[in-house]
Amino acid sequence: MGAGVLASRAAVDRLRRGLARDRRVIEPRSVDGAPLWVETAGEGAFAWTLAPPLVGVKGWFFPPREPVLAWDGTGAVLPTVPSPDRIAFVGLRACDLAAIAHLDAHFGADPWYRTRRDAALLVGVDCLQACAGGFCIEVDAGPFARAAFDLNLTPLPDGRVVAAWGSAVGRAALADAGVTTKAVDEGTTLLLGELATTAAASFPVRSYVARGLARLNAAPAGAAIADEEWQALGPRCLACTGCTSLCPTCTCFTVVDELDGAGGARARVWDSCLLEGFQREASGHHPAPRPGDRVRRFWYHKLSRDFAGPGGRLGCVGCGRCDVTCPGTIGALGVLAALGGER
Amino acid sequence: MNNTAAIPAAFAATLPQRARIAALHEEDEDTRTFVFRLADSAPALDAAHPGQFLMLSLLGYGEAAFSFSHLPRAGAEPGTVTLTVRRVGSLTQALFACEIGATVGLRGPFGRGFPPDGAERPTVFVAGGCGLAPLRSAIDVHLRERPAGIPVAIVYGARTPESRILRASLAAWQAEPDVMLMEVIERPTIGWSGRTGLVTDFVREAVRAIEAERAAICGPPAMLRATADALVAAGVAPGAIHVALERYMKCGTGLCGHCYVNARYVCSDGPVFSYAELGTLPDAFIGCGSPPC
Amino acid sequence: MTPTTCPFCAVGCGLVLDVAAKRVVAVTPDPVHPVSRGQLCAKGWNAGPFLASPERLRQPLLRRNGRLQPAAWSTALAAAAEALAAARAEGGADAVGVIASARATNEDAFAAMKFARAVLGTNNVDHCARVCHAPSVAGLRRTLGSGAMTNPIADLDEADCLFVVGADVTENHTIIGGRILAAHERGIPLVVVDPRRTRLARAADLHVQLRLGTDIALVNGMLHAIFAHGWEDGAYLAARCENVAALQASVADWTPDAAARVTGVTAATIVAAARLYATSRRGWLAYGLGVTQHVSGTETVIALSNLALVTGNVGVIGGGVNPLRGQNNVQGACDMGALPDVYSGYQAVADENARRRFETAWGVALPTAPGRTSLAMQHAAHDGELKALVVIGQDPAVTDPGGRFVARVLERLDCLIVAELFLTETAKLADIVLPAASFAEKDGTFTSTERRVQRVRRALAPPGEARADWQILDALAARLGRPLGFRDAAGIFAEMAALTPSYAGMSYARLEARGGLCWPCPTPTHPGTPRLHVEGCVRGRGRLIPVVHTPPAELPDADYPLQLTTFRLHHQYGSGSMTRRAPLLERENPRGLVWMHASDAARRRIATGAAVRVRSRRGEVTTRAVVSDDVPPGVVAMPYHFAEASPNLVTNDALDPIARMPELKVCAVAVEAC
Repeated sequence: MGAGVLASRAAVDRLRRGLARDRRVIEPRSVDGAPLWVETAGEGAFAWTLAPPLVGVKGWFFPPREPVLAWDGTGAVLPTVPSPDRIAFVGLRACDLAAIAHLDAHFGADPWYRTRRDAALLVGVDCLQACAGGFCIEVDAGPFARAAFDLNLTPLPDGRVVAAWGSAVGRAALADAGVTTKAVDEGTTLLLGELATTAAASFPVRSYVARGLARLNAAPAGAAIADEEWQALGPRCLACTGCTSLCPTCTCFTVVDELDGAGGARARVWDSCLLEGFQREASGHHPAPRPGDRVRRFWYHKLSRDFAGPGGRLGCVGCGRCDVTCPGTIGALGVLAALGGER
Repeated sequence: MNNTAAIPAAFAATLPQRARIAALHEEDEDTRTFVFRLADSAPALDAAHPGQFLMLSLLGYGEAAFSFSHLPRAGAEPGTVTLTVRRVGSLTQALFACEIGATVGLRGPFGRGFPPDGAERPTVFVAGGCGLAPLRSAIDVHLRERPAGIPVAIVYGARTPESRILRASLAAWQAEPDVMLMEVIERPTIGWSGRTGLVTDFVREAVRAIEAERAAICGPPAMLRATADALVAAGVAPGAIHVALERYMKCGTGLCGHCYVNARYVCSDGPVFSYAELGTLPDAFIGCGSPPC
Repeated sequence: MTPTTCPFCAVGCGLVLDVAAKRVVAVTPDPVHPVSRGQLCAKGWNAGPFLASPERLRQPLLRRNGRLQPAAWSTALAAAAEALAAARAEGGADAVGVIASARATNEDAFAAMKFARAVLGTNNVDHCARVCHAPSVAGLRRTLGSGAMTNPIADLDEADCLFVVGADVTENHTIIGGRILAAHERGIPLVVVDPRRTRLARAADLHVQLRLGTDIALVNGMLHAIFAHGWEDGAYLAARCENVAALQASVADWTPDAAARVTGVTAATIVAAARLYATSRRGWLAYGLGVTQHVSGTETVIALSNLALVTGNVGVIGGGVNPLRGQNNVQGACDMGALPDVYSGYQAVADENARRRFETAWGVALPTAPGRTSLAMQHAAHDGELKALVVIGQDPAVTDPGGRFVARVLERLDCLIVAELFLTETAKLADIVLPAASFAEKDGTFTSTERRVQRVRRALAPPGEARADWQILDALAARLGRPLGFRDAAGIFAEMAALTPSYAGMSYARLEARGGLCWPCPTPTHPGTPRLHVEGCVRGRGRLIPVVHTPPAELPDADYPLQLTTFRLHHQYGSGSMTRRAPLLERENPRGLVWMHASDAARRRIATGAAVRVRSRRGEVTTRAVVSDDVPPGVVAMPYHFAEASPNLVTNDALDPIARMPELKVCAVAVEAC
């Protein structure tokens, strides 16, 4: 949509405080040594170099539990309409923005998702350096933002900041905060290119990622990887639901009825396709009966081009959270290492 | 039904429509046909196609997917929904405890049913067990729409003679001209003098008898592929064999993720797929290792 | 965002509660927690739903006209106080008892033991450690001087061999189990001793699939092989152990062949296990309930201690004898003295000096004789000697052995008072039910399996009128005329620390930091002690104690030809009062099941999913079969989480003579299709 140059990082602080005038501002902060999304009102120093929090922002748009209807003792049934606060996330990284693009495409016009998503303004910050365990560059999701942002910031070494706007709302936020921009000149464009090159070079070489992705995507679907490979990975899935909970693009939910006296509520609740019960049918039939079947299905969903989303990007955005949280060491890099002959 | 005036339309549209049980009929010990009467007019449900499904809701027990077993297109009264339900889980258990007049919620129709074209082509329908229920509306619509003289074969497999469901329809089809009904019993009891075995044993005979050019299959998971393979072997093109898949579903609208088969959702891309298409979905038949029934 | 400690197993993972609109909306792993490091098991991830369950108890219930009916706190407390006073008046102080909770906080457990001793005047106080790791406490105190896990979890990454006995670690201590799998993948040899083919057993370099209850024979066979091959650590034995010759003599006849005959494992396997463990530089030995829940539980713990001492593995980095405790705070409940024979810090009630300290601190004379264990209290109730019982956060009607006996004796009490989150099977039998606050609704501490004391933080208010256990006990004590004098959880901790040398250096201020402190921590500047016995064993020299194989109390015969063992599932916990209210967990294993081998199933015409009856001399239970090679022929296995199909209707309550632990891990049963 457009971009401009902010004179200094202080302009970003102005933007943050401006956003806080009519939005809750949520930013990454280090709390007891852990990066977390914290409500800051735009105050305090912005954490330009903090690694992305382990727990992303998915739950703001697609909460772990979303009541969809409620009934009372009289038999009246009404949909549950959320009324989210207006929010601005400042400091989303490219991986999480790419993930939000996936969520937007998946949920489409779903009114619960849309209501929450429309209440949020997204401000990205480009990564100039690879984070530990992140491999966005291998899946075309980063380290510079590609999608979904209203505003995206690239801090330059000289203190200036390039701001790109992806929506009218984003552009207006700059203006409303009284932040002025200058045109992006040729020198700045060159500098951005250099920064991108430096950022790309900061990622460790993980050749197995490309090898694993190539095997997984060889035609026809599934032909290149023997069933035994998946079945060998199966027992390493302890069915903890950690990967699917932290994965910023996982969208599966179940629906539960919660009784409370004469009334009750029906709620969407995060589900996990790695649970045996996820697809077990009432008859006892199971279309993915072995743990290896479920591991394979999950990783195809994340890593196969058949599931590519907006911009042709994979369902995996390379954030590396699954590798942190998997007790069985079969997060994305763990699986790609196995498929790519690295383990 | 409820005072939804203050509710944004996008949310109000997600509410189940209220319906009451108007009639019920015992098919066998664990299978029952319910006729629901909708409280308000529901043109979308009246216009549903065979093979599509809806979500039936019982407050406190959640929702589950059911295919229509009878439809206005096939002669059912508009404003009604007919489902033939097998008692297998907690929701169906609760539904079976309901009496005439009890209220349920219905959402739908959803999914892609049996292709509406092809009434002019000789068609074989193969059903196993309570898979006859979704296929009944397809058969009835087909029989209404086919030009005179176009033959139809119906192969219906049941475990025992007593477990055959929808017997009035079976009798009606039997009486139709140019309809060949083949009932196949897996475990015959005393007094059964008809065909015994599995539906797959009789597919070739049915295809030959009517020179079938297309087919529709519905039944338990283990039966589907065996039947489709038998149809292919008998000369029906995979692209003309329409298979109704079943999966656990929670939303019906392609969001919840439970029903995905490779990169497709059974709820929105199916539940009816051509066998040619299923050939590109290697996960479609995992877990169907047990012998066909 | 409230960082706190997971309420399920004893690994002590860090989780973060996200609260909005007075409800926990998300439970996420603590990314910087030193134990769990951003991971949780399925139970931890699903710790939210039970908190908000509409089935939570919100007000006291009082039995009137045979039915539990809502009552005001004042009414319920008055009734409870009156019943306790009446029982004491009729039968003396030992006619009442307290079952504390291994799930509640240290502060709650300390309050429970103070309530029993200082208010009721009895040492009749116990908790469910009796049915999990009482033999560990009894056994390791004898051999090493301390009944707790010797080495930290993190030490398994420093080991050269991992030796796991009778523990289904990936399912029950998932975060440790995953770490074992990861270490094994890095090339660390893994030996698993288990009658079942667990996930770890399938991954292991060596699976020693011994007969149920033959661990001592196995260990003695291994010790024989170790001495025979000179694999023992002679220098370590000379410098740090005692009774070496007696031990060596005691295993002289336990040749691998002799051990093979008892265990059903080949002699070669026994020697291989001995070699792998003994010849590795550092062996991290961990064990679970498969060791303790036997009539020979304490002796089996001693046998494992012998094995570790002989190979020089106690008091070293990457080694240890490591009991994996079951419940979040079972270590803490033991530490707090919720046991009939000790005060906090394992100070014996029979020790006059210890008793004086507590009498002085509390200003009351304390009973001198050790009290009854939980099972002894049940038997005393049966005999009419115990008349009133306070049960806090425990469900013995489901989790204790002996068929319907437990329910019958609980019904026989003049008064049963239960403090609970939910109306459990035990609570349904109560005369007075008091609504309790959960881990998310109160402040306190838990002590994990590795003696790590960590903060539990209040993230939201309890539902309705529910209160923390210590508040309930404090109010009840006040009604009995002897208030406990507690103001808040920090104050209880301070009182406890002042009376408990191993906790003396701890305070809430010091425990603010992630990961807390491991005891012993005797002074305010002491960094805590992740590893015990480093400078010699706590008791001085490590004591080697000869032990002999004792067969299970009940062996299969013509009438009951199969052996039943019990186990736990990853997705359930205890009697399920918390986990069965999480929809994903409940869906995963929706009902009780019995695992059996194909050969046993075929003989009985049983297929997976079939309804079966499991019978023993004590009772029967109807459940469904899972035909699986997880169990060997002749063995069936049931998880114990499901009240509707509880194996404890058939399990044996034969007791370990030392720790009074019932033999939950093996009994004889018949199984038939129904």
